[in-house]
Amino acid sequence: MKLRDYVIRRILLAIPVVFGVLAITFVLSYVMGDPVGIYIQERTSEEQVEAIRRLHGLDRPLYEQFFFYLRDIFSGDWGYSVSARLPVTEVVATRLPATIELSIFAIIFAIIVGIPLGILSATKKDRWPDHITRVVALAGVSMPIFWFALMLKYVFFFQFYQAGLPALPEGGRYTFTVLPYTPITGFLLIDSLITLNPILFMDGLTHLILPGFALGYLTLAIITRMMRSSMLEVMKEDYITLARSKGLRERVVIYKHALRNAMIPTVTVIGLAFGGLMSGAVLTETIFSWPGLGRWSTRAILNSDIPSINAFTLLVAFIFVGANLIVDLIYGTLDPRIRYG
Amino acid sequence: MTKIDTDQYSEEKEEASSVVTYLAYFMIVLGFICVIAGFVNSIYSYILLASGTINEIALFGSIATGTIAAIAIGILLIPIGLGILNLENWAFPFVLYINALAILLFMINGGFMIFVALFNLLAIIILMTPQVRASWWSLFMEDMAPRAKETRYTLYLIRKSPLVVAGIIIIAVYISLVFLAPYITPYGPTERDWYNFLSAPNANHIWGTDENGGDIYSMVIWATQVDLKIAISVVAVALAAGAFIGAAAGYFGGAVDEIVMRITDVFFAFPGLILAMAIVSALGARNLDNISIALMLVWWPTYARLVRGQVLIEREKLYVEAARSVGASDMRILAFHILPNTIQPVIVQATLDMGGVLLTAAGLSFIGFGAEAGSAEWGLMIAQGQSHFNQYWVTLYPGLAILFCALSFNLVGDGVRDILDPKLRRR
Repeated sequence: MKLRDYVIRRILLAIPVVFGVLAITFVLSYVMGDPVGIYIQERTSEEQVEAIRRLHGLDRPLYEQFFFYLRDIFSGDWGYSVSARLPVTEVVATRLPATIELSIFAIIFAIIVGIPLGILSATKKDRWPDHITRVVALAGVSMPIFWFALMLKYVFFFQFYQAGLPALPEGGRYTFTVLPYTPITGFLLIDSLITLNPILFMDGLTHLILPGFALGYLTLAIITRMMRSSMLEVMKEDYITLARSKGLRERVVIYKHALRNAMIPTVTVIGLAFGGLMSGAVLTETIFSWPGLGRWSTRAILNSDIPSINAFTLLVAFIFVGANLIVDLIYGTLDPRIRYG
Repeated sequence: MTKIDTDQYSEEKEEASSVVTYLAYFMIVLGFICVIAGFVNSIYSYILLASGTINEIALFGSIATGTIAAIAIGILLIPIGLGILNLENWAFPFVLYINALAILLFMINGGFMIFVALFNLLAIIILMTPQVRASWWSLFMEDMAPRAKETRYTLYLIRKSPLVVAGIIIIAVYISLVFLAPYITPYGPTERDWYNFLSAPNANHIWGTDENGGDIYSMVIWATQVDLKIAISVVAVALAAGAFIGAAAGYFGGAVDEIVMRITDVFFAFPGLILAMAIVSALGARNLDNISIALMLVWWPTYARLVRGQVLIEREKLYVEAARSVGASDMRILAFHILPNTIQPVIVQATLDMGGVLLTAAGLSFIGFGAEAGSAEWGLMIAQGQSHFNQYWVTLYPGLAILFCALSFNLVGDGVRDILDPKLRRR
């Protein structure tokens, strides 16, 4: 099979999933409650309620409503967010960059630290670097991320502040009381680079450290574990023995021969970890008052703001499906066996 | 001499088969009892709902683990009883599997279904009596012999692995905390020392107090019951439902398989916590039962996939082919070969998921979907620490409780998975 055919087949397979995601979100939002509820006030009469119902097509049969739902989603009309007092698409446009910035920071941190740790753990198997790395990784998958975030805040904000050390900020995206910031792309770091504002850049970066670390730790743990096990598996292969028997240095064997093949399963795990990252963002953003999608979604749920909950669920599912699709495509290019298998 | 021997032999056989017949009739009767109990359970639950003892969500949970499970199990038990009556040997292991599942589900459901679970226990006890064992145990063990040897070897490896042993010990400690809570805590789960709120750890409150004067130590211990119950019930129900659906998909194949797999694909398109959030908000009321139901709905596809894959793999294996070629029936192959081989990875997955469910449930509770304010639950206690993060003890101890609980399940699950992995085993 050619790469092009593989790409087409993989994209076609994603279509029923997207359709299913739309169906599930429709059913969930239908069950959540009567959407007319938010329009009703004390003096709203029965006729007015009926009129609202008719206006929004809520008196139509369910399959027709589902059709309207699909039409609206694809035409970009995602409803009105009562909790944010803005159309949902606008809320998403302003808040998505914040979440993506945080997630990318977290995932870069996880990759930069996680992959070397995994290699270290595999090459020093059953010695103390391995034991320490395994404990770190195991703690990462067993730790409640919100607790970890609070503990980080306690130590690096509160205790550092008490001790007179340079404390990290407790939350938010930048020091909005002092620094002016008008979004251009919405990504604070990029915007501050464009406007050549080093103070804002450094401020944004220090604000990213704690939430990024809290969010990235789980991903780090997953990457480290995967890297370790796939590295151990690859090191047993015949071509590694061959490379060693040729008299190549251990460094060359590990970094030139083993690493490339051991990376393949890790790439898949990074794609899957994206889902965990979105879940984690909900919790981390709540703790660090990060103005992203996660905090909006919890507030929306606590306010029973149906369009917002629906949009958030849908958006995250789309991002997740997209991430997995991209990973599968990368996987297909990296490993020809997948395409032909 | 010989004649007497033969007589004795036939007499013994007669004796044995009479108990077997009892078991067979008992299974059929139990089948009807389960079906009736299922209906009674739903009526009973509706009465409780009407009297306001439980809410709609608890009703839903009761219908899922009580009514539907009981009716399905009852319907399965009747053909098994008939099978035993015809002395078909596949039926005996099924008595064990189905009744064990029934006990698990009925115990989770609680209420009067626990009495039905006693009948299931009785069935297993009858199954294990020497008279009944004579007609299936040797055959079962013969088929299990290589596996029994492997199991002994596995147990040996588990004993040799310090991490797995440590995990098992921690789990045992947590389970004992569930029962010991009233004896080792100075305060009740909702008891408050109103004048000493947010006090640092001291002699009266060894782990300090929260904003309402609740003793952190006592609340952490009491919360073990709540959180373990969520984790166990979610994993058990998701496992039972997922295994059933996955086995059906793998067994029937074709369109059924395709539909089930596409549905699981859709569920996998959502990150767990976020789908659970949406489901909780769709269910309306915010309480722990709701969280459990949402997590069950989120988690079943994992098991459906796993069991389906296992069934497909095992079905094609040479030993199944061999069993089929000597004329073993489909049911026999399922009971003696496929199910026992499927169970190992499922148990490993369930152990690992206990940690995951625990963390997700605590996360949901932290955001504010969980127990009502002030009740002893780890996630909720940490949520309180959010506004008092300067008072580290409010947050620290419940978090450590979650960390060690999830860690122990991960240690055991990870270790056992490595031990069972054929690639790492004996080379």
